[in-house]
Amino acid sequence: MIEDQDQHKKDAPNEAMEQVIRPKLSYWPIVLAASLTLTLVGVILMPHAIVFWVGVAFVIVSFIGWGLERR
Amino acid sequence: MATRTITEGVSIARRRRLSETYIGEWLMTTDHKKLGIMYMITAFFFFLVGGVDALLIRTQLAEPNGKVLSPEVYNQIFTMHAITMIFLFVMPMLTGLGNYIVPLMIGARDMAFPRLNAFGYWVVLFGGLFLTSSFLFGAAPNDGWFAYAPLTELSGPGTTSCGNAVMCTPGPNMDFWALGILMLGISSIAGSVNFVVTILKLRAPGMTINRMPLFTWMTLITAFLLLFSLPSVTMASILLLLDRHLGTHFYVAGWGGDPLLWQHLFWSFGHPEVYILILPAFGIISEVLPVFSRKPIFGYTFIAWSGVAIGFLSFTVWAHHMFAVGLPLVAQAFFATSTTLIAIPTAVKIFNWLGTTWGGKLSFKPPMLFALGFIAMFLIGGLNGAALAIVPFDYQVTDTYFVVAHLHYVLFGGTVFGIFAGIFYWFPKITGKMLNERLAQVQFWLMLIGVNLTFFPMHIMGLLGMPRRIYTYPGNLGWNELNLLATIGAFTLGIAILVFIWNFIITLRSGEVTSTDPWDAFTLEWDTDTPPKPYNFLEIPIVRSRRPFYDKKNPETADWKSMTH
Repeated sequence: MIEDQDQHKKDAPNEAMEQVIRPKLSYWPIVLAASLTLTLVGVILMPHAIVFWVGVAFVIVSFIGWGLERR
Repeated sequence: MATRTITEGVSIARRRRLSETYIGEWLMTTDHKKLGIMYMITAFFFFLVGGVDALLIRTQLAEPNGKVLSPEVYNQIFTMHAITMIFLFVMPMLTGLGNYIVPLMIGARDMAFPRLNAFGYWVVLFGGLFLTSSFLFGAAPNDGWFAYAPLTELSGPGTTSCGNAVMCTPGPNMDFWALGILMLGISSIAGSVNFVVTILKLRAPGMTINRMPLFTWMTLITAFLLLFSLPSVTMASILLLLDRHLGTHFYVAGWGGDPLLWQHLFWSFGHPEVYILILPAFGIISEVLPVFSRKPIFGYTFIAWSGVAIGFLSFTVWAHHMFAVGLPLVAQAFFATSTTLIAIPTAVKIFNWLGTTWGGKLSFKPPMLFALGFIAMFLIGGLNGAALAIVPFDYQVTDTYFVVAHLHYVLFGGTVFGIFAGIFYWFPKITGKMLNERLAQVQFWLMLIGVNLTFFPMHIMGLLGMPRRIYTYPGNLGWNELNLLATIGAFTLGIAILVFIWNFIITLRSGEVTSTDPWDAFTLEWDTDTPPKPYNFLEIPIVRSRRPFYDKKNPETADWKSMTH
């Protein structure tokens, strides 16, 4: 029991360190990359422009989302 | 009457967020180590795709008058082989290794911009899928990886001509190329900015620029090369897209454009690109050789600064790809001279690597085998490259299989051997397990034999006049046996890669668990847990020499006690 407590004490700073230092997860990088790809697929599918404009809209949303995300 | 009270337990469990699931953690990660692993797995997947392309090419050319592929598909396969190997295997693999190792090596807790890092990875993955998906449309890029205009121009309505009696590319094939390259360029810029800032700003206390590990040095130089070379190919691609879709004529001589503009723009990216592909491998070799020779690197300063010299000179040699277009004599003399000059810093490195092994206690573990294989193969690739700097010789062999031999000795014999040296060296750090040594030896010897069997005969084919990218050939030109040999060599390489995959799988499933420092290494990435914790180091180490982990393990003979740098 005492050993367990000691171990816990040893681990505690590590866990705290991990909480503080670990970069936060974010889905905006993957969303922005996917939006960019959609835009390029839209260029390939021209003159049917709908995919292109949907891609552009997603790119704009991704930029805004990324910018406003809490760090 | 009895009453029954049913008390429902209040559920305090909530649905887990995406970020709390295993898959979600990988999809949303900003951890440089996870991203490094993702880069490397993605790159290896594309290595297999590019490898299958290579085997198809060699099967088509194994015998004269081959008809394994149609000419149209053959054009797409050889183009995609190069694009896949360069942009989707070598670059992401080296970026992945850099991502995983560089922050650990310099005592940082992550890359400077973790989200940008994640973005760079996802762009590579989606860009690679975008490019490869072109096969599904039957419209993969088909004009060679350097996409010479005006061959890549879109035809006018109802014609296949550009108005200059030059055939064009009417389908979307080259749109895939241009857009894919733009996308991968965005990823490279993101990655390069991240490497530059990380290396310049996040080094551990005491790690001066002259104490940085050489892999970090080479990654830094590579990042600068990318930042300065990508704009020209980006511009070239945009101009091509404008030509193809908005009616401009930047590259069409018949309408006042200039086809050589494309070549200048492309190769002013394309030749630094060669060094972008090889410099990180130089860095890997410079890390592996000292550890397995049990000596400090010989001539650290020369290795580091010859890398810088190569970086600068790489921007002055691009037109040696264009000797045959009819450059003015003075331009030929300039580019021949600069190309010969770049051999000097390269030779300095080879000299220093050999100096490192000289008198060392050599241990022929798998990373060392691949490092030594790298030196031997790269030397051949360097020497036949220097031969190509001689203008009259270049006239004779330009666009022949001699050039194919040269570039494959550099990129396969050099870079790929370097990458495997790095994989075998850092695999225990990344996974905590040791790849099987016997299987690694089998793979090494198969690769060494395979490389020489495949690519050495190509020198002779080139001298005999076999053009590169040729679809097939008649049986009376003296090329038959050489082509068959090359094909056997290619399949030998394929078997070597299968051996590696087998080794990888059995090691992950039941491999030997290793200590945190299995090689008795010198640098900081080994001075932490294996695999490292998300925050890398509990306490940021303080560096006092070029071999900080060696110093820590050997306080009596620490480098900082006996040398100043």
